Amino acid sequence: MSRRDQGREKEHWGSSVGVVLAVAGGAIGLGNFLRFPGQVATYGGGAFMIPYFVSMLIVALPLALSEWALGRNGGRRGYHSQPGVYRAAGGGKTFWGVCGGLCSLAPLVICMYYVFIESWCLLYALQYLGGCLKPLGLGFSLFPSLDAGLKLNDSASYEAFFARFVGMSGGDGSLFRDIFSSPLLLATAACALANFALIYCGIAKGIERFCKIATPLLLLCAVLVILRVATLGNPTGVAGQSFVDGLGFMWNPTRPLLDESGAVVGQASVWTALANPEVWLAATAQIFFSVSICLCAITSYASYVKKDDDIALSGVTAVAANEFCEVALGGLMTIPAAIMFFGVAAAGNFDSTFAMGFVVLPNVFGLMAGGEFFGFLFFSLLFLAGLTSSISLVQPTVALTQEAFRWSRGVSVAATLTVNLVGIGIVCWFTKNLAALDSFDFWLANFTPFVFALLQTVLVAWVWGADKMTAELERGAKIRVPSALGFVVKYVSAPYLAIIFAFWLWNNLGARLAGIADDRAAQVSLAFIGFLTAALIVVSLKASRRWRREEEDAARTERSQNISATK
Amino acid sequence: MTIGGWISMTLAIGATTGLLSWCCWKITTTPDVTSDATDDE
Repeated sequence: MSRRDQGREKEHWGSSVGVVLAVAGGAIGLGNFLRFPGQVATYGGGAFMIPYFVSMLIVALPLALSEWALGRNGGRRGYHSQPGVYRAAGGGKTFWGVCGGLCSLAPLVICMYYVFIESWCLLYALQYLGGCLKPLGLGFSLFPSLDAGLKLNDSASYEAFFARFVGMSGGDGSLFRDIFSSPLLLATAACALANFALIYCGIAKGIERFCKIATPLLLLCAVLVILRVATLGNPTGVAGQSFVDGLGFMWNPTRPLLDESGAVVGQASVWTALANPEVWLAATAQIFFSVSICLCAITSYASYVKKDDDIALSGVTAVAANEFCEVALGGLMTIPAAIMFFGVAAAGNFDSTFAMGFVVLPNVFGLMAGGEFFGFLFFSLLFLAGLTSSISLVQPTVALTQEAFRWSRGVSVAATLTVNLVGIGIVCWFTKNLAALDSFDFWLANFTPFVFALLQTVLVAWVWGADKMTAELERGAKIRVPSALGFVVKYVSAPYLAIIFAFWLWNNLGARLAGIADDRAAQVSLAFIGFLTAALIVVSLKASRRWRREEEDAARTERSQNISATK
Repeated sequence: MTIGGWISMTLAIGATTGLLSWCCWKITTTPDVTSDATDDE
């Protein structure tokens, strides 16, 4: 009797295009359109792209392909959860099952604050829609008291709006004090339910069907917004604030060096940027997080690919689609728009995703002709990007509870939703400086993916074997898998990642740890993360024990059948 | 925008657009080798 016959669910993607759009949709998120342009502008413009593409070739692409191979290898054996996938590659060792369980922590927790951010995008989009409908007499405002204070061309008023909207200025618990007048909590709950409803509908009927519509739709929104920005000319009439000047601010590889009085005293060359280790760290971190390495999404989705379907070309296509959105679309949209309306004064917000997305750009749309419509398109684009990403983060946990407890999809979805609602509650409560969100983001979206990427590289390259990874990628492949891939994963990606991680720790860990003692939100967040870590260890141990028992039973049955056949 | 800016933008956007276009072309022109994945190893 095969293991799958013993009750494990058998689900597959409906088409190869569907899985590519789902994986690409999972990777394309807010970071592509808001964080990437800011990083390019802050860290050397065109010069930033050299470490960025180097990191893509030696880290992101090899590790993404290794995740596709790991996932499909697990899926062929009937495993769709990270513990199952890791254990299948790790020779059935419980240690790797537990590592997989710990790796599942990142998507579980990231989803908790991603849903909150999604609800911001949804409400901003609806607010702009209300403005679009005003000429038809159907206009509405979700925040009449909040948006009354908005003044065009006044960044401070947009900043104040955002701070009140997300509860930063009201302090911890402010969103819950006036629950019925705050649409944000309702929108957050609606976004959480939408995520879990899509997961409940299943791989082909839920995730695939949705991503086949949402991913192309978000591309269309992005193209329309870029066309609008590119055809604005010079809306303020101020010299140096045209679309091309905006592009120049982002892409020029040489930067003017200013003295204290603001006078230009020289030029920072490409070599200055390349000699700065922080540029390499920023570029590697950007591509690493953008492709969603070690967030379980790729392995989980790849585990539902049929055993002889292509994964090599699908893997490259998913990375390419993410890069296209990030570089070709994200690179032409936000920073040129901000420079066109506010000049270099906007540059102070470029390294902050939230300030850029929810303060600077709404101000830009306020000043732009047809801004209500393009604001609606832009925030719809962010909402769709967020939703396709968050469903890819929910699926691994649902698969884990299904496999560990043999629960039906409905029960697993309900259990995961319950845990998520607790985490979402913590994020929505500690809104002062968005401290819980920041804490979750630091530990789960920055720290743990690095740790588990290193661990996963050890699993793939040394435990499972680079040759097996290559063989898995070659099965049904529509393209030739480079023979050097195994070597790159083993001797280039892993050491490079280790160096970057060590530098990242040196830069970030000390300050973060020092701040915990005085930060109640960080303490609660860490306690919650600790509780989830313990729970995931227990769940993955339980699942590993069940799998071992099933394997022993299957071996025993096979032996007795062989004996009967011999007699 | 400097010449260096134009070059870096064109190369970056051209590379990602070219890669995605090549992938889409390969996906649409290469026939699938599908199976029902009914066996376990």
